[in-house]
Amino acid sequence: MTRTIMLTTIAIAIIFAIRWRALKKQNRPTRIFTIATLLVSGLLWVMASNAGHIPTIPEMVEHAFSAFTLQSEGM
Amino acid sequence: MSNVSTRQVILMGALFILVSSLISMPAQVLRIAKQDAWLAVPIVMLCAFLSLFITTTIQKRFPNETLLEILTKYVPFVGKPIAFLYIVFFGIVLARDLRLLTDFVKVALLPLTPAIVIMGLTTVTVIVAATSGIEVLGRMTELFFPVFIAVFIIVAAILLRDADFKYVQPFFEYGMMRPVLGSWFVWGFLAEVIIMPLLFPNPSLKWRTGFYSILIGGMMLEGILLLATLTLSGDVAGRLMYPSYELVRQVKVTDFLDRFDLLVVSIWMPTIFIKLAMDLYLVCNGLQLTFPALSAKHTTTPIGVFSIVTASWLFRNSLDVMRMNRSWAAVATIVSLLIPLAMWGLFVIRKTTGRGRMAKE
Repeated sequence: MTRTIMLTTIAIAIIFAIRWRALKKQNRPTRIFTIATLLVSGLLWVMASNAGHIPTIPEMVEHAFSAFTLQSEGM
Repeated sequence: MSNVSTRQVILMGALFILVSSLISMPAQVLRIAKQDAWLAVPIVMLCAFLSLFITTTIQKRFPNETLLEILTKYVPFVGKPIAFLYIVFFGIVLARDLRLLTDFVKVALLPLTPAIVIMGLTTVTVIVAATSGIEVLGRMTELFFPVFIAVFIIVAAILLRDADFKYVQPFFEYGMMRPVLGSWFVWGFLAEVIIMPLLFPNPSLKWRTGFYSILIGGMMLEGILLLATLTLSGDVAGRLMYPSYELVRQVKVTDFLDRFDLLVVSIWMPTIFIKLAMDLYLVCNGLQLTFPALSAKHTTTPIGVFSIVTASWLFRNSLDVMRMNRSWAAVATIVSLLIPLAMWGLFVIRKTTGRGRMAKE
């Protein structure tokens, strides 16, 4: 857990450092969007790697479109 | 929005529908349709033609504007949520393709390298390409895709000597329903052709341009399915994870080039980078159109990083992607056929009945 958090924080910090100059020139909404997206990405990464399971897209799509799903490929 | 030539548009459209569908989709089609798998593609090509016909008809009324611009500009109340739906759709396609590419590279080329390293390196390249703009992507396509087509023709010519027509017989042994079910998987990928009207405005994209794109991409996909059936047989190819890769591995050009597959993969790799960059470019530009305060150029890095996360954790492995393909065609039908049909009703029929005059005005 600690290792994942540490590595993710380092990765996000590196991205921020690289993008810092560009980040300062951006308008406010873009800056907020950039920071929020990077933080959410880091959080999602840590959560998923430690909590184990978050619903995958196939599960979500299958759940929503269960009537249209080909249940057996081999027939 | 763009300054790309008609030839570039044709090649980009063909590249977009072909490169990621070569990875694992043929296995699913061959597994279900067996020796009749070759029939699945023509059925779907007709649907893709219809989808592009509808969207290009709409675009004819709004010169110099992409479908996303039409949606966000003329009917913002309904159009912006629909535009956001397209962004989410292509965001998922981006994550899926990144996952497919990573798993393929891990299996075929770099088995010991961690997936995150492959994903990271790919994403950095894709971010740089997407930031450069659609013109650069067009030029990259013009450079790499014709080489890919040439290699494909050479591979097909070499493999033809091993082809055996007994593998496609008897026709319809398992009934007519199998190829139709196989086409369900193909549709999930070919429906992505809807990216063309979302990226290119009317003078660059016309019905005929889209027609050639689908024709080139569809015929090459058809060629892969047919070659896999004729040389490996539907039964064997359907049990493989990457039948098109196994197909290329059959090729041996005397003794000096026995790993011909490496050459083909190295030519195919830039084409899938272009596809990923087109996905990312569309997502960022779509976000800018939906939320005008955001800058498309500056959002490529965070969206790229976000795509790594979604590719890693929303698909645990390639099998998850294959599982998604079983229902993905339903989503593709909504974004590629139903929404364009509704838009056609809104913009074209309303216009001809004289109630809506927003286009010309």
